[in-house]
Amino acid sequence: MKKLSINRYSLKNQGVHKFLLVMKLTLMLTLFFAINAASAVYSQKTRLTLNLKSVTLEKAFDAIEKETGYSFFYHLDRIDLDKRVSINVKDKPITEVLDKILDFSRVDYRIIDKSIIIMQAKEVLERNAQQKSITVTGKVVDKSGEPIAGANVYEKDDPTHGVITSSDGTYSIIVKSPDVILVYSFVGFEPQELHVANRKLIDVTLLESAIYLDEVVSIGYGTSKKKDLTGAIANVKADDIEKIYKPSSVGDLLRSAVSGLRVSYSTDAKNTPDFSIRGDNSLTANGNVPLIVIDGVIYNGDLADINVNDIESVDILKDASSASIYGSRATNGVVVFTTKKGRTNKATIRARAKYSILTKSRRLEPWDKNEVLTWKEDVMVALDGNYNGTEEYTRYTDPRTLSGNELDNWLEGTDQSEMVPTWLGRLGFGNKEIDNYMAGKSTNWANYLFHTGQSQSYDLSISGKENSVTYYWSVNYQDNQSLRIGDNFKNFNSRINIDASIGKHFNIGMNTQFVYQNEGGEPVKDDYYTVYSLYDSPYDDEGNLVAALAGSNVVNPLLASEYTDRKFDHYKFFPSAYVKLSLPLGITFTSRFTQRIEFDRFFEFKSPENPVWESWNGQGTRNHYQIYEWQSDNIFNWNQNFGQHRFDITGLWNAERFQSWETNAFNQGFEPTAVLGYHDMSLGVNPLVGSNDVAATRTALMGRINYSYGYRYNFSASYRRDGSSRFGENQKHANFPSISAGWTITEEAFLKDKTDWLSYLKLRISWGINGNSSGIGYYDSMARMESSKYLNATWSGSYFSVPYMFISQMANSNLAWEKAQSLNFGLDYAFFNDRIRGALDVYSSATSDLLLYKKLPVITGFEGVMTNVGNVKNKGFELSLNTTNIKTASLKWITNINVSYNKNEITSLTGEKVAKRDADGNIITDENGNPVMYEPDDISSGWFIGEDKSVVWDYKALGTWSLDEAEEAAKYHQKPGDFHLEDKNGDGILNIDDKQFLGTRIPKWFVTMTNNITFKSFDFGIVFLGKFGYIAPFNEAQNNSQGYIKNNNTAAIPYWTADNQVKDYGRIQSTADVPFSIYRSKSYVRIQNLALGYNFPKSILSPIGCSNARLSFNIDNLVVCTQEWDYGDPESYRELPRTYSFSIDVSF
Amino acid sequence: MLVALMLDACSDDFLNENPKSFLSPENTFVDAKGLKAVVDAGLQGIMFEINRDGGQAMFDNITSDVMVAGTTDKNYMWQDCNKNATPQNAKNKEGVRNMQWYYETYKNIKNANTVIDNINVPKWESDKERNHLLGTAYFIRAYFYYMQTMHFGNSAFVLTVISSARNDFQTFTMESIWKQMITDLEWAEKWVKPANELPKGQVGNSAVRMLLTKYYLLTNQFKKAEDECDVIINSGVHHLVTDADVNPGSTIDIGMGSYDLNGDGIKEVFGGRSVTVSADAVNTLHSDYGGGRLLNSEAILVFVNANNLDGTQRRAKSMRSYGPNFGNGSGAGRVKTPDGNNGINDKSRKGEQMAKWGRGQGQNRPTNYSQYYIWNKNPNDPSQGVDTVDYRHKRGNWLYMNDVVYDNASAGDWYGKPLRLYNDKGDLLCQDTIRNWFGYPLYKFWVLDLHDTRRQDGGEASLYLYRLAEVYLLRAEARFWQGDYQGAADDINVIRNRAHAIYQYTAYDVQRDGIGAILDERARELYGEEFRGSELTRIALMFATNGKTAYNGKTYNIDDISKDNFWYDRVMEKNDFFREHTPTIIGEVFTLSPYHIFWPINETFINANVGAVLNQTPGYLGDERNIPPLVHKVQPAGQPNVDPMEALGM
Repeated sequence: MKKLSINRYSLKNQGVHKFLLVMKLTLMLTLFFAINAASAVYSQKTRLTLNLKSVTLEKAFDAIEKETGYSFFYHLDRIDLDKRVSINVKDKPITEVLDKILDFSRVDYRIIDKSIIIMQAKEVLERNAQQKSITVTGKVVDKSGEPIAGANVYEKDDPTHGVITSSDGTYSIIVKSPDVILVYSFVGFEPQELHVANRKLIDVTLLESAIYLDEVVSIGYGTSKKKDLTGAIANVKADDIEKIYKPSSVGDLLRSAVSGLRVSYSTDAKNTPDFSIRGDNSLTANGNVPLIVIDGVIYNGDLADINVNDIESVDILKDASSASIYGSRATNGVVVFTTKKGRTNKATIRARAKYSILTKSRRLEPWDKNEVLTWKEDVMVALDGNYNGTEEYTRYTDPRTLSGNELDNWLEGTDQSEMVPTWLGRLGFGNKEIDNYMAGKSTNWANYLFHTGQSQSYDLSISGKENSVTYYWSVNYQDNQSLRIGDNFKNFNSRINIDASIGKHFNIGMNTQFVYQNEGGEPVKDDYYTVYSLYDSPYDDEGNLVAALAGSNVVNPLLASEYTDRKFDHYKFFPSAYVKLSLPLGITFTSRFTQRIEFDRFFEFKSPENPVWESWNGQGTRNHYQIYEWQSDNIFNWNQNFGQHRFDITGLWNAERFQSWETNAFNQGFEPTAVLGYHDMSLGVNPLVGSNDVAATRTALMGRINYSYGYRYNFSASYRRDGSSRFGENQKHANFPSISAGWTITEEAFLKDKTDWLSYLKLRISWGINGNSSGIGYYDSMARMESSKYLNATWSGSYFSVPYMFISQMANSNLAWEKAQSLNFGLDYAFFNDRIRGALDVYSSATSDLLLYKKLPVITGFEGVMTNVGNVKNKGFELSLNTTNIKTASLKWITNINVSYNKNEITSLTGEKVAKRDADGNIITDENGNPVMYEPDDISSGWFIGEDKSVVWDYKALGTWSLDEAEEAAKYHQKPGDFHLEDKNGDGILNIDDKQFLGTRIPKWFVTMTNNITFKSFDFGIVFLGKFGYIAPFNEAQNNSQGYIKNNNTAAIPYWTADNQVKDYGRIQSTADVPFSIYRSKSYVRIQNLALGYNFPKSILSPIGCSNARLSFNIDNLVVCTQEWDYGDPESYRELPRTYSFSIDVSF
Repeated sequence: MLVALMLDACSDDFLNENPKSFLSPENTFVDAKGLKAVVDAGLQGIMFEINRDGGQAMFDNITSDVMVAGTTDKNYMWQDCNKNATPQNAKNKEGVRNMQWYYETYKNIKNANTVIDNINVPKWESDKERNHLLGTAYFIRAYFYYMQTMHFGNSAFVLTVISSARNDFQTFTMESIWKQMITDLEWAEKWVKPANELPKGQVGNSAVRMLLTKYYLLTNQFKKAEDECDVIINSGVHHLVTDADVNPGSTIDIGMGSYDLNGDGIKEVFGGRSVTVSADAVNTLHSDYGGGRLLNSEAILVFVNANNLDGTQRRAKSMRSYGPNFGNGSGAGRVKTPDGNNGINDKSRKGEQMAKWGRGQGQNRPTNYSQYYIWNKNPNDPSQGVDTVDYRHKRGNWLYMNDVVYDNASAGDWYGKPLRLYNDKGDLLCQDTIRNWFGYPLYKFWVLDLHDTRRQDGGEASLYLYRLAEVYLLRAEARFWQGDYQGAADDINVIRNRAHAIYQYTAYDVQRDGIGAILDERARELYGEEFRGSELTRIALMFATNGKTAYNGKTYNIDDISKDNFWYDRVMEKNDFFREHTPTIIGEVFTLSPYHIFWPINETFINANVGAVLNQTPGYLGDERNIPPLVHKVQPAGQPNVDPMEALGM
């Protein structure tokens, strides 16, 4: 007898009361096959009336179940539930009904108790046995011709009869007859069905499945099929991104890929941007960084350490239920990187090279050499109390434009031949500048500060499988520059991932990453690039760098880099070793031990040759920083299917310890010579030493149950308990539960294949609590003493140093975890055969017990204390929309749009209420005489209840006062050209009562749109990125900074004059009674990337043993369009580059 | 290994990580050394007020009759006070230090309270050591509350270290704060050791008595004040520096002239007048390069500093703060030659005059009163001209603008010639006479700056807080208030004689000029050392509480102190800038009102105290919310205190 197992059968009737039947059925089936019984007597008595016209078999079953209370059991793969049947009977026995609708050439049935079990007909089995079997062989490959190992090949009618392709993709199967339909399937690919029809050789090319529902997604301490997900997890395949453009960093990879993930820009050569998921959940800035996980292990290192080419896929766990697996640190989401593994027997060698040129894009520019004279004249007139700005000419007017009496007056007796130098002197130019002007010389400072940067990256990887060992090996070298001269970053990165199966039950493996990074020397100082005088020069006549430049305290920007010898590098080693034990019944146990070892060196020598540093007589610094961190993860997993019921249970026990050691050596006054630099620190006469060591520990226990019923219902629940040494004595531990569910509506009978426009629809809901501890320092719960030294002396005048110390931080033994509770509704959808697909997630999260450095009244003598106060709410939605606009054999155009909106609101700050007082300080009472209580805002921190965390609260500038409004302006001690600040309450005084909420500093909207067009061997991609709904100060518009009025150049922006009464820009040296900022909208749309690629055809590549070759050209940051931000890029005033890259990518 | 780690991690101790690289109160206050280090933090806090450019002490001085804020290119708080001295003004620059005063004061009060709270934690071998340390902490606390109440009047009052996130502080009357401080100091003077048993830089017995003297004066306890001064003067520990301490015929360098700056054995000599003056009692007293200020016993409390040592504090930047800004000027040339060319070379590698006289920024600028009028030979007869003998004003010790010479290459024929304020036609040659053109006591401020030898800002120097000369002037004041005019004149003349001033004060002078006579001598002797604004406020408070008639014929009342007070009348009388509404080059004018006697509390400080009403200084926006201040009940000295609000059952 053929052995049947319960999991091949499924329960048809979905009523809840039937659920327990599963267990009962097991027993019954055993019994049934043991006695081989015929139809039971009971069935004869059951009669029913049914009238169905052309319904599916499944519907017919439903009707019978409803009518009789019987339940159907059948093997999903052996019955064609979609077959249309019609029946019209009145009061007939159930057996007669079944005989009419079932096709007995294929199936038979038995009725036991109240269950109808459909099984394969005896005749079919017999007939199959009689027919002559055929052996079919062939090869299964993917689109690129790469063999697919491990693909399933089975008979459609009898899925138990099947084989798996070998490592070269070949298979051999004996089928029962030429009529057999073979199914070819593999995870991530669309299954294919082929009629054998006497063919003996069938080669199959599988296409990647469009919706990736079979894709495996990392869910933390385990994986799940995408279609089983209940939480909001976004998955990015590196290959998909690379089709559009070749990212040079992890930040680039992620920036436009996922809705809800916001990646900022970094302009330095190291290029490690900040990123956040779903807005700021915390009030402390550094508390909003998502947790990074690499290959299942929490990674506390730097994003720049990760070689983007090693990444296979990235999963972004956005909602609480997904992220709560990482409980304590998951408030801001989790980014899970999975690195590449070896797959095929044949070694795959991949080599890539990329060369980029970085050029200036949008920059806030200084005045040019002619404009600067006009500006300088206006500055001098504005600062000279003798003029009011309306004079025909002044003593600062260019005398060459004057004649006659005017010129005579101007000259004040000065020799006319000297008038130009005199004029320049009046404008505030020094002798050197005057000489240069007279000689027609000027300096373009940008040439000394900025350049066209070059970056290059080379990458080689080899991966494959030998017997039971899979391997992935890679090396990468990067040499990056930024637009700023002298800013360099070199990165050497290598990785080995090895996994070996030992016997049946053991896998051992190791994922190891080694990184060497060199941040290079001291870059030039470009911070004040607009103030350098165009008629000054960084060199004197002998070609030496000068110390001070024209202007007030303007140091030559080239000095520091010229005279600094800096070595700043990092060695990082990140090995993760594991052993995995696979036991029967789907039980696995994984134990992983991970270490992170890091050495950092910062050596610096400031040479006494620099005139500015002369007095130090050499200054050396030697800092060593070392990290040793270990993590131990022990994961238990049980994965078992019972028919349609699938269980996945995970347990985790984790412990980790972080330790770091820092040693600082410093010396000044190098005698007799500074020639050895930091190599001989002992030569200095003023040594200082310092050290800072830190240790911190964490523990975690976690359990999770995932349950799925068919592909329709998914359910997940988890519970995590965390401990951390950072918290107060009484609050080291916290618990984090979560629960979530998913419902794939299109799997329901009433929708399945009913509509041709709807191909997929899934509803998800999740709830969970996460924790956050990243906003606080290692010892923030403890009181801290700060110490330093000063001097005393003996009565004979000998100095000696005396230590002094004071309490700088008060203890908080109740410092506890910050917790975020969030709710997520998600909808995954696909229409028109997946031509339109995507997901919509709507979420709301409430963070409580915020870890906050609470400012204290200065009277306490403390600036603040780290404590748990207040609540923040985030609400928003994320929409992803992927459309296949054109899909023909040679042309394919895909558009992907991600939209995210987030609104942040502070709902509570201290939780402490105080009595409300009126303007005179009297307590306001309600009708019962009780004081009216309210929770006050934290004005000193800029936090207001009911407002966004990043809200701007300031005076509202209504534009400048015009000349006609001089009288009104005078009431506020202002003049025309000053900014008119709204006196909200009209009391004639500008004070705190007049401040208003003007907008937020963090964009509410974040939108990306990606287009990918493939035409034959060419592909073209364009990525748009937009940020909307945020403002930032643009105080340059006030035209009154010290740097502005004291130097001989500034940013070339408009300024108010009597002749040109601009509204948005103040007069030179504009003033107001109160400090305020001018805000401008930063909203923008950017063409983030434009890419063009060419894939060499196989016909060329095959003969040379090359499987894939691709050339591509990219432009990053092609253009940016802004609404109000007219000067410089909204992300950086000066350094955001436009990058042109060429890359080549070859695989063998 | 995994099992071992798991077991380790399972134990309760695994999550207990103690700090490795910083100390906590628990392991610091176990012995006298730990507490002494907190006393030193308080002392360093006092030093921080007077050491550096733009320091708090400079701000105190511009709220007086002797100086104004000379940074005329910025609309600083204390120029157009009616407009800019507001609780909203949050600029925290040299001309706006009311915020810094406020928070640094309470930080240092916390340091003193830390010592007082924990005084019984260490095991003491004798009361002597315990009580000396406690007494020193009392000194620090009383010093800061004195400053706080002179600046802000009624104030928040804490006597213990705050250990929770409190935000319900209320204002106490200054009078009740003083009573506690006097109680503490009277205890401290019995225990704090004499200065000669302590290192320089530490608080000795005389310093305690000197602060107590000021408190006694403040509370009109004149006899007690005089007695305290007698004890200090007769203690034998402190002596005035006199000509007897000076080698006859020796010279002293004020200004660059004989320092080997380049290490090439060549001593630099720059153009202009000689920088070498004959040594005298006063320039010896103030000469510091090489540690001179530590070598006399006139110092009662001196803060120690020197270049390039472990424990070095920041530079005094005294020339930068107090000197005229003739050099720097955006290349424009603050000072022109009569030909109209830029007069001064302000490039730091080349400018000789800036290197020689200091690169002044004119942040604190003397008034005509302190620059000219007090230096008349005979205060009763200006026609006799200026006293050129007084060491404190003699040429060489005092910088005159015509000591500086034109050193810019473009000065042409004028190169090397003394600066001129006017050309022959009578046109002004100086861009900004407030900031660029004035004389000042160079002997007191000139210290060699090794950080940039061509740009002398003023290097690390030891700084006097209290010295014996002031004790004589305090005793003169105590005697004056008691009607002992001859006694007061005698004390004034002790100081004048040491400086070889020509005129001798008589009892009649003191009787006629009243407190003005003492204020004049203080201005001559203590310019840039005393906290002049606070001293005037103290005297204003005394007039308002003792009802005596001032030399201007007025009497004052404490209830109207914000509307009518001696501080305002004195400043308007002597400070020509405020009196005449002098305009600055950017069109600001100097204005002042009586309520400015106390400074505004920045509104953010008041807003942070959400749990109760903390009073705004009367006269400023926000004072309408004020509630009556609390009155503190004096607690006995010698043991830790109870929080004053808690003691009132609040």
